[in-house]
Amino acid sequence: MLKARIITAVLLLAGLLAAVFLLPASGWLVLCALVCAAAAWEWGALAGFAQPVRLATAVSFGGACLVLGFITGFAAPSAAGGALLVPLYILSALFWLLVVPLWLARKWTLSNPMLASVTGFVVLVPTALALVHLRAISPWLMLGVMAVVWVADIAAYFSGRAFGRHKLAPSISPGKTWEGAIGGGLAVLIFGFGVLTWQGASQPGGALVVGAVLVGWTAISIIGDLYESLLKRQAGIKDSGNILPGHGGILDRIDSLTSTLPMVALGTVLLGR
Amino acid sequence: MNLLNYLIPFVLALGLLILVHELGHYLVARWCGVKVLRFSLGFGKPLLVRKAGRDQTEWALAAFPLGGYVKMLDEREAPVAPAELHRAFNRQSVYRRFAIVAAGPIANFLLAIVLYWGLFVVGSDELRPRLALSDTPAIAQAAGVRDGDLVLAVDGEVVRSWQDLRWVLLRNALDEREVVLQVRTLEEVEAFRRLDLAGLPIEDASQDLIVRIGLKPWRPEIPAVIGRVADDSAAARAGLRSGDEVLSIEGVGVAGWSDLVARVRDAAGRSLRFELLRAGERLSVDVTPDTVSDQGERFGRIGVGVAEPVQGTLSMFAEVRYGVGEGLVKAVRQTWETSVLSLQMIGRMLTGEVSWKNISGPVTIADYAGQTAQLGLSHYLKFVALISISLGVLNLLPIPVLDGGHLLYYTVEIIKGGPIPERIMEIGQQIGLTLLIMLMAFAFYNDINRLISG
Repeated sequence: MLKARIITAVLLLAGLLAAVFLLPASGWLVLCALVCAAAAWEWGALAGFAQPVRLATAVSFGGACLVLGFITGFAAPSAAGGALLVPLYILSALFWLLVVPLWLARKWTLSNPMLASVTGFVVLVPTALALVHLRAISPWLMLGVMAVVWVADIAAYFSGRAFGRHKLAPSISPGKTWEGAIGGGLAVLIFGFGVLTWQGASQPGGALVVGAVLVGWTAISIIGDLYESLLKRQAGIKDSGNILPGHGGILDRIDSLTSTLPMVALGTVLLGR
Repeated sequence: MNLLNYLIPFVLALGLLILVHELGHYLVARWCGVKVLRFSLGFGKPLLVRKAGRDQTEWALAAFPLGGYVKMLDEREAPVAPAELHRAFNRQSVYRRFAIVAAGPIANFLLAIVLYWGLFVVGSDELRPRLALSDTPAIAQAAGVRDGDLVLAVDGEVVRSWQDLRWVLLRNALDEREVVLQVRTLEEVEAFRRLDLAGLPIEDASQDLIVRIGLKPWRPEIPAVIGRVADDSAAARAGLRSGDEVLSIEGVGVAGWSDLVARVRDAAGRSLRFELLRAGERLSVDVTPDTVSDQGERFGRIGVGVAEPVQGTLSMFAEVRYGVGEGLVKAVRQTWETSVLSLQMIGRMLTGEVSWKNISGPVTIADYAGQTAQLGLSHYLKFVALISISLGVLNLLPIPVLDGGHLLYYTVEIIKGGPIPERIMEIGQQIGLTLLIMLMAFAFYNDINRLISG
């Protein structure tokens, strides 16, 4: 299992790097829209939609990504606008910071189809557009942002296995422990400060603020992970899909990105990048 | 700037519009014999519930205020007792369902008509449609417009106020054609001015259409005679009095009131020699304008007001009032034309002729609500009527989720002779919902932009 997981991860990473550096802007936009559509298809299963409705969800979410991406100008090579997406990013940030913690605490369900669609949009479309947006600013920035989430994931996995004793959220995701979360946070701190030092970049607001941001970042990525776990559990599904051997579906792979990427993109707009 | 000044008019307007919309659904549902389970202002958890009526309908006030709903007895939502089956929404004929759904938007149009009607009959002081050339008068000059032309009609359509004029011109600009203004000049001669509106870019919404044609409201030249002198102002300290006529400043003749104001503005803190005519005698006074700063701009002020405003035929304002019948006709027409114009605008946004920057969201609406409320009740009510029409039009758009989407389904049902499969409705709902979220994102984006750029 771990072997399949690692092989898939390496292949995925290679594919991702190739796409990030080789595709033209419009190709990258289309790829992100396709990923969004595939994730929307899986989301439809979590929400209990029938096949045709899942297809409609996938097509309309993917279409929304394309339309918004084109209007924002991300199909052109040198665009770095993205202000148009601010409302979507804000919506996403409010959702993850205010709604999801309540959602996890109260164990709400996706039973209302209207609510399930709106929630799916808020989770998936801003994420796909943030991917397009961040790559338009710099492929390395985008990869760095994704790497933070991966580092948190991987470190949490191994430190959880080594020291895990206290369960984080037993009723949602029995495999997660506080020790894992702390290990993830520490790894992100090391990674984040390491990259900043290596790049010789300034630390806006001082080391304390940067550290707080990194820890918060880890926490939000865990929330994204937990949220998808809860939905899968409620829907009685183990993996959101099965296109990625050892990793389940697309949604399983991007769960912690859905909560973090839009907020980072929002940050870049607000900081005037 | 007080937030409440915007919030209260906004919430009142929104509450009224939602109430009227849902009442439309509710009343027609009742007339059709459908049992209404709940009438809710706002979405989500009901905060306040009161049961009333023969059917024990729940009247609720709910937490999320941007909308409302009427919940009817429906087999698709919950099992219905056999005795009440004939009162379930889904058991009604397609025509009745059509009527119930259409009643919401129609109620919004009716509200607009009633508001306009009342405003027209009561009458209001309106800016007269007397023209002056602006700084960029290309189109107007080509048409031979002269300062002081009073517009009587546009293409034979009688125009009674500046508002009327603007409206008719906007409509004609959308048709991109030539319009003929029938005017009366200052010399009391009737004449025609041919405005060529073809090629006028309507894309640019940042500027009023009339300004782009090269026109502005005409202002009579007010003589530089001082009316009121504010206490403790620069004018009072220098000894200026009511009735003084300012002949010149620093030896340069003063053309009129606006000239006086402009010269004082430019001379913050600098002493100026005023040449006055007081009771037939000339005298000189030195006045040093106070420095006032507003939004980072500094300018001079001496604290005087104009004498009596100009009355009679040259007055800038005139009361416009309509008879009861005439007012109703005009109210219906205004509502109809506003609806058509909104639809045309939407169509042009889809084809890319008009920028989607014209979409406004709740923030802009709240801003206008506050501004118009401060201008007075009639301005505010006019604005409420306008928003009511927009709400009606928006809800009639054939997007699933909205009333118009249901009407589309029912229309197909009537033509096809059978209901549309549930599955197709669900698919439509998915697409409609995505469209709506994107629309809202645009609206909020424009709102934020306007807020930032002021």
